[in-house]
Amino acid sequence: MENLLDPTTDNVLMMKVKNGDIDRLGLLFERYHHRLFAFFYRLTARRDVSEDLVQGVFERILKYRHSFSDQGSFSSWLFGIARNLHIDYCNNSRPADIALDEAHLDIIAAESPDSPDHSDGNLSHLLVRRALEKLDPDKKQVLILSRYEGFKYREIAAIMNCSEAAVKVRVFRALNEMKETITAFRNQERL
Amino acid sequence: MKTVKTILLTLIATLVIFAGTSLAQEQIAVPLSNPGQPGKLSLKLVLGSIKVTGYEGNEVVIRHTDLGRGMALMNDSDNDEDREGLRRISRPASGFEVNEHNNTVTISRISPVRSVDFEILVPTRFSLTLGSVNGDYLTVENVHGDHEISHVNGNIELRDISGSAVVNTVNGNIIATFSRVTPDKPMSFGNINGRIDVTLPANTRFSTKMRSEMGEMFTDFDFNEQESGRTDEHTRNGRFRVQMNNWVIADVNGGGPEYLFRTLRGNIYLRSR
Amino acid sequence: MKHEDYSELITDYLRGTLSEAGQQQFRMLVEEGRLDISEIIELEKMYRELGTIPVPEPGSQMHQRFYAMLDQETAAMEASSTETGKTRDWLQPVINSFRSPGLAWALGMLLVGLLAGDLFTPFSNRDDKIERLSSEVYQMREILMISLLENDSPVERLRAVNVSHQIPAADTRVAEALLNTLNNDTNINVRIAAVDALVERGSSAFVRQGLVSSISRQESPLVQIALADAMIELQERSAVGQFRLLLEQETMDPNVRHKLENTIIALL
Repeated sequence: MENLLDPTTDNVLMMKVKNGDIDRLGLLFERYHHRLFAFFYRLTARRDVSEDLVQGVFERILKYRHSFSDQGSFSSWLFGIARNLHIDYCNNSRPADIALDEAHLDIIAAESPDSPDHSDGNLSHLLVRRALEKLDPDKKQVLILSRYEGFKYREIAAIMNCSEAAVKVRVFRALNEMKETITAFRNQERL
Repeated sequence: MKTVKTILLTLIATLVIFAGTSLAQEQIAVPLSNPGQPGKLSLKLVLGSIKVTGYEGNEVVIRHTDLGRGMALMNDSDNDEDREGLRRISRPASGFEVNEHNNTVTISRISPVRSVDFEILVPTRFSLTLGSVNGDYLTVENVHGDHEISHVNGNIELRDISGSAVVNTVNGNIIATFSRVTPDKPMSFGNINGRIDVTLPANTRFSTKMRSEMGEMFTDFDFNEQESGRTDEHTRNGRFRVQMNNWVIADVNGGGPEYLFRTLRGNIYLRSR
Repeated sequence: MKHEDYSELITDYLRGTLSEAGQQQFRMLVEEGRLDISEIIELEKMYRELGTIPVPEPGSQMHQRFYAMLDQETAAMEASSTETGKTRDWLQPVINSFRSPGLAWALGMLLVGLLAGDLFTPFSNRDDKIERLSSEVYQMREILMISLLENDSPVERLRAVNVSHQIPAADTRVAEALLNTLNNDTNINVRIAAVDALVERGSSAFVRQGLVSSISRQESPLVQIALADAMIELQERSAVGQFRLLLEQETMDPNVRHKLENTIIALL
């Protein structure tokens, strides 16, 4: 579905929202809420939190609609807001929430139809999920944006407000960290 | 997050079964998920009266009076003599369920064989879906929202409501006074026997279609009447229309959403205030 | 971590976006042993696994919350500006319709179609264009109406029935939707409005047939009477049998009975 979206149209719609025709936001919501939800879900592994964050993104869009500039693409702007919101969430959430996250992961593991089998180098969802969980928010975001959202490094750089090279380094570090975490998990299991 | 509050009530009816005079009134207060935000209330009854009043509060307060067994006797052909000398050991099904979800309060599972009167307080910004088949009254006061009100054998009275309303009863009067109407929303009032008496703010813009087959129609609004009392065919706004006998079709204050008034035998009064 | 110098190459490799020069460089580095191929394979495997983490569907309340917020903001904006234009009257149902996500898509795509159509036919005959536009407007109204009919609020469904007055009678989908409303809507006022809207489409045999067969399905005397009026207006004699069927019910209100008996007389 995403391929059908014409980025100029998004921008046109958002400019209309900016100029007071806020009902147009409905169409942008319809276009993006699934992607945003998936983005947050991959970051937090929590459905309720993800739904709240999606709502939060659109609240901020309404509030800061005047700051939208037609220069960049709407989707970069949108995910920039989403990313900041997620960082706020990480800073404000209590350890109890993180514990809940862990519990949630186990639920996913239990629900997962293919049983984990990582004896011969096959990685289970759970293991990858746990490793992803351990990354700091910045790395998690960069990885998810590049792996799932189909953004080019240039676009991610715009979202993350850093250079393209920095994005690549972060993706690379994130992957390496995950690999190390997974190795550590495995070693633990062998003991 | 969004919590679904389910309050399951089981009323223990004791004396009520025999004595229609001793009424047991109970009260429950239902808090809302988003206090201060508009909400909805849905209540459909078979037997009993309803009164809903808007108030400056954040909870839905439900008072109910169980009037005892009603139509159940239809299924109970036994005579009192059959029971002479015996003690009643069963309790007729009673109770109901109240659900709150995202500011929507639903009262359901009311036993169709018991007669229960409801008196409910709601925050003023509430949309109501109310229905009864047989009740003494169905009254709403001072509530703002989109209302759907239906009765079968009984009157409907809406006092100082605002928003919009879709109202019907078969045998009973429909009396409604609006302190404010939502622009652009259509409304509809219909019955068979009984008058339809609706009061609207004088500056309301609407287009009306009214018909009383056997009664008469009165208004103090300035009707810019388009067609009435004729049966003919013609084109209006480029569309084909057949005009029925006895219809009064008019634009008021320049016209607007359609307000339909339709009765078989009653009079229609359309008043401005 | 020595690989970090090559992070760009490796990440491009993982995403499959290596340029030709990059591919050559990558191959060279592996051959020279400066990139550990087993580590790369490990990374690749993980990268692939990342793609298989399942994501559930969001709950429906997300929509409700969003539109509630939008409504609130709209109301706040309207409160601050006293101006109300005529365009908003028309726009209101469109805006409301966004509460149904499927329709929002349909409308969105239709708009895109309209725009694209305009872009690609800049020199077409003006009359053609107007004709096409008006048929597109009808299409839009049709989508709007059919989706409004699914709205929970009877006020919105009434509005939908009223929108049908602005769609040409030849449109069978609209007629079907109205008949469906007549037979299944939970609100009596909405059903009555559907009867009136269908009478306007009474030149269609399909509509008349639908109205006739609906008679015995109606339990509300209000709808029964509306149908009786409709049949007289359309002079639909085939309805007589249906009314007779209705009259067999013993519990009928005497006023309604009288009305239906008169209807039969008027039709014969």
